[in-house]
Amino acid sequence: MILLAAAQHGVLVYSYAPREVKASVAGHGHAGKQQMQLMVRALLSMNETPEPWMPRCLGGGPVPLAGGTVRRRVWAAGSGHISEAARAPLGNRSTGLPNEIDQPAQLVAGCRASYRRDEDFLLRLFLLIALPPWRLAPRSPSRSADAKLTFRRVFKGSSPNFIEITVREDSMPPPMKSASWTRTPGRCHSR
Amino acid sequence: MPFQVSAAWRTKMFDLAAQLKHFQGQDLDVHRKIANLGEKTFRWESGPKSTRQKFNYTLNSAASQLLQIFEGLARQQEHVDLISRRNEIRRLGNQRRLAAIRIGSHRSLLPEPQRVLPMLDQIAGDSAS
Repeated sequence: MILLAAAQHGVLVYSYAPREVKASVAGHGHAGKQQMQLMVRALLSMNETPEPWMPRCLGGGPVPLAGGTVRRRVWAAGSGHISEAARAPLGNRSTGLPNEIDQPAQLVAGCRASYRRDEDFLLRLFLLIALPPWRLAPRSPSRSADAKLTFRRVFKGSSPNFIEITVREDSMPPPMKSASWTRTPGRCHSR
Repeated sequence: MPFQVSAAWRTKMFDLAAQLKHFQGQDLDVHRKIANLGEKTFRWESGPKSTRQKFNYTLNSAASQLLQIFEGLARQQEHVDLISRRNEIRRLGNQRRLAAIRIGSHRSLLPEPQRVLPMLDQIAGDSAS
């Protein structure tokens, strides 16, 4: 019925096996629900772990990621297969489906909520940038003047695959150089 | 390559590190079977003292915030580095990087977008590019 309704409304439908979705998102096709939830949270930089909205449609969140876009309508079709409608970005059009299909609507609502949470995070980050220095948290008394904070990420296959940033705390007088940055994209190396 | 981080961001970052007890005795990793997202290391050094924590993925709020800031700084610095380098060698190759800056700025993924402005002004004022 879902496929028929999609065809009648000119909606393109793609079908992904659950294992394909799991392999694209979590790295292996036998990932559990919790692993998928954590990966979706990680990939979308969400503040909260998303709920699996439908027991038989674990891919409600991950399918768009596996399909290469995060704003497509998604629902389950049949048993064991997950389909994705690729007609319009979420929120731009109505679903174009008959009203009796409740589960897709619930799923879309879940998608919307989770993406809103993601957008909330970005809004908060923007507000953090907009805040003047005196509005930020007061300095911790336990800090010493020569403290250094270093972050390093090593991720083979990403670009750059190595980054390292060191931030120095000495701020009086205002530092000319307070952070150093190293990156190694492939063979290149600069320090 | 050295660059400057504003006092506000430095304060925020060091406060987050303090919330994480300077990574002393903090297990930040989620310890679940999830895909490899890259090994991240936070290190705190103060005089002879040095503490560090490694993780693949964390659910700790302060650690996530600190990670986002560092990742944003890295992203921003990468844009600046590549555009500066290409400006000297291959100016036409800058279009994609400029688009990445626009998108990053629009999505608030760059912690200090104002740092890129002088470079953008320079490009805008260069009639050869």
